[in-house]
Amino acid sequence: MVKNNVKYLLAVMFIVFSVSVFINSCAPKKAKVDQAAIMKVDERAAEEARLKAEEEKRLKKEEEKRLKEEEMKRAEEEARLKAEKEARLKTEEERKRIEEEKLKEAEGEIKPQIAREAETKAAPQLEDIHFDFDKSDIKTDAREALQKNADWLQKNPDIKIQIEGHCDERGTAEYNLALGERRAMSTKKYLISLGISADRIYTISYGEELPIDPNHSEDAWAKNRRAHFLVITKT
Amino acid sequence: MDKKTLVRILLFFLLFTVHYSLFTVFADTSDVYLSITKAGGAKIKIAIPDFSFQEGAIDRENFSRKSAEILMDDLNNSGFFKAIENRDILKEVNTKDKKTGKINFNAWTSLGAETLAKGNINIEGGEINIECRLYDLKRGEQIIGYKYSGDRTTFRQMLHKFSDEITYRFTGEKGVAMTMLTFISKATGNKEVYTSDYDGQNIRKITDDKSISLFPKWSPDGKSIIYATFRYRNPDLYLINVADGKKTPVSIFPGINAPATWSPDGKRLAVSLSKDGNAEIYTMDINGRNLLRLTNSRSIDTSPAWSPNEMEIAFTSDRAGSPQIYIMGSDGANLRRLTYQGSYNDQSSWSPDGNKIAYSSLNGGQFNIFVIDLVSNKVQQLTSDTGDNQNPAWSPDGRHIAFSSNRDGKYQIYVMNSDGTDQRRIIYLEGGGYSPSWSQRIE
Repeated sequence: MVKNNVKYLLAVMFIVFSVSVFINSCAPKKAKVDQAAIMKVDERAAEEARLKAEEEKRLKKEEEKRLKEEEMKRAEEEARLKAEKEARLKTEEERKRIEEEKLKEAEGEIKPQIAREAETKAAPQLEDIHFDFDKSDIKTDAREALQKNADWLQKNPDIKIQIEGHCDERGTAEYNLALGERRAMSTKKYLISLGISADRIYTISYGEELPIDPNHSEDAWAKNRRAHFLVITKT
Repeated sequence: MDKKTLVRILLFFLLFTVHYSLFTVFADTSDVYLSITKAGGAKIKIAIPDFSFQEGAIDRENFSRKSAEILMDDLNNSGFFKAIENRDILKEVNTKDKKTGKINFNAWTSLGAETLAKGNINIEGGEINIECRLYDLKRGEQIIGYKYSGDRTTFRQMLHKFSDEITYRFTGEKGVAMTMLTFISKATGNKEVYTSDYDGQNIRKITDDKSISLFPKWSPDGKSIIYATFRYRNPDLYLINVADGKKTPVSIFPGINAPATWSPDGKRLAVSLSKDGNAEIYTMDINGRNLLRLTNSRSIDTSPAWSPNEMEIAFTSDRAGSPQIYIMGSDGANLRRLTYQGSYNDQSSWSPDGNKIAYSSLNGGQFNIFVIDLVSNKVQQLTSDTGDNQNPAWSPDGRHIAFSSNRDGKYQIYVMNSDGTDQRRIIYLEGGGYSPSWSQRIE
């Protein structure tokens, strides 16, 4: 019985072997070549893919690098611009602050300086400036005149001036006395902001007492609301 | 609505109720009051014939006529009396008195008069003596009699004094005939300080600065006047002794030192100074010492006016954008805005009873005088359609307001009753009249 079993086993093994030889010796030959070829193609594709991937990776890296560099550059540029802007703003702010401080100083600490004993003379080189009703702020068109007056004062550094503040007749004499003072002082402050030394500028308010045009018209009033400049010849 | 507003509203209702009940009480008991004033048709009718002049002398300067006229004007001005105007009838009855050597009370009463004032003038050398008598016509008896002595320069004063005595006899308070005005005029070409009697007579120039003088204000004792002068090339504050014209510097800081006002006790001044760069209100002794700064703003603060009870100071500030009137304690605390009507208010003047403030307001290109009641905040316009009207100044009895007006061309000095009635020019000067201030009684 055992012998039969071995015979069976051997027979099966033989069949398996034969079949396997048959399989190996017929169909698989072509397949082998093809297989090899396929493998090669695969390999090439894989290699190509690898290379491509590598290339892509490199390119990507490069691109990334470039982008990063660009980004960095842009950031740098931005930072630079920002810094520049900041610097500009800072100087501007600084300038403004200084100006404001100057004005503040002028407002807070510049007190009226009067020329009791002084002798004065007309100053045709210095242009009058005019104000709106009940106002003492320097109007835009007055700035040009004050710049000219300041330029002349810069060129004549030994000359001291007196600013007279005047009002039109329409308000009360009481209030106008204070308003004329404000006009003289705001004119003085503006000249100081243009670089004229405070101690060269004396002020006085005449309120509504000395109109340049005695008429009672809009025209006359506009002329009378003024800051007038005199040159001090002797203090 | 915050708590403060609520309290205010409650207070308003409380005050309203109190006022209303007081009013009704007086309405019930005022018959006696009314019957007194009703007797003469609101005003007491007084007969004042020309004063008699000493026998045998010629009245070259027409003192007898002038005396009666001055007294009539004074009493008419007081607002309490109405003098009988028909001179012929007065003369007729007076002649009858002279002939009969007694006062014909019935004849005077038949003219409609309730009281009669008579005078007798006697001149010896340069001295003028006036005997004045006041009679009650109903009772047929003399009420008062005074004898005054003086000279030509005090002639009017003697009659003013008698007028004030008559007013006192009928009203319980002396009149304002012995008060004076100070004001500015350009009569010489320069603005100088002038004084006059309350009726615009006896005009005198008291400064000779040949510059610009502004804002004169009588001291409460009537002896001096503070004013601003540009004489020393800055708007400075000076005190001038009215009797001898002596000037003393009070405040001469760089910048403006004006306008100024007296404290009611005459010991301090409130002044607008710009020495620190901007017009602020300060108080100081009348020698300029013990300076105290009351305001602190970047705006204009000017035109201080001290309340009669010394507790508060009204002033003008443009801190809200336009000149408006504010009130603060005389120490600078408790600031509040007073005027909300009008875009330009200035020149506050406190009524003697402290209840009202007169001020001027620019509206439609013209100034007019207004009075604001400090209890009700009610505003009353006193002048209108008559040019510009500025610088209200109360008489010390609170019944009149002096002011300046350009209704006839140049600014001149006018007086009106404090309710705005009876506006009349009392001074005319070629050089105009500005910025009046009314004195207390000056004996």
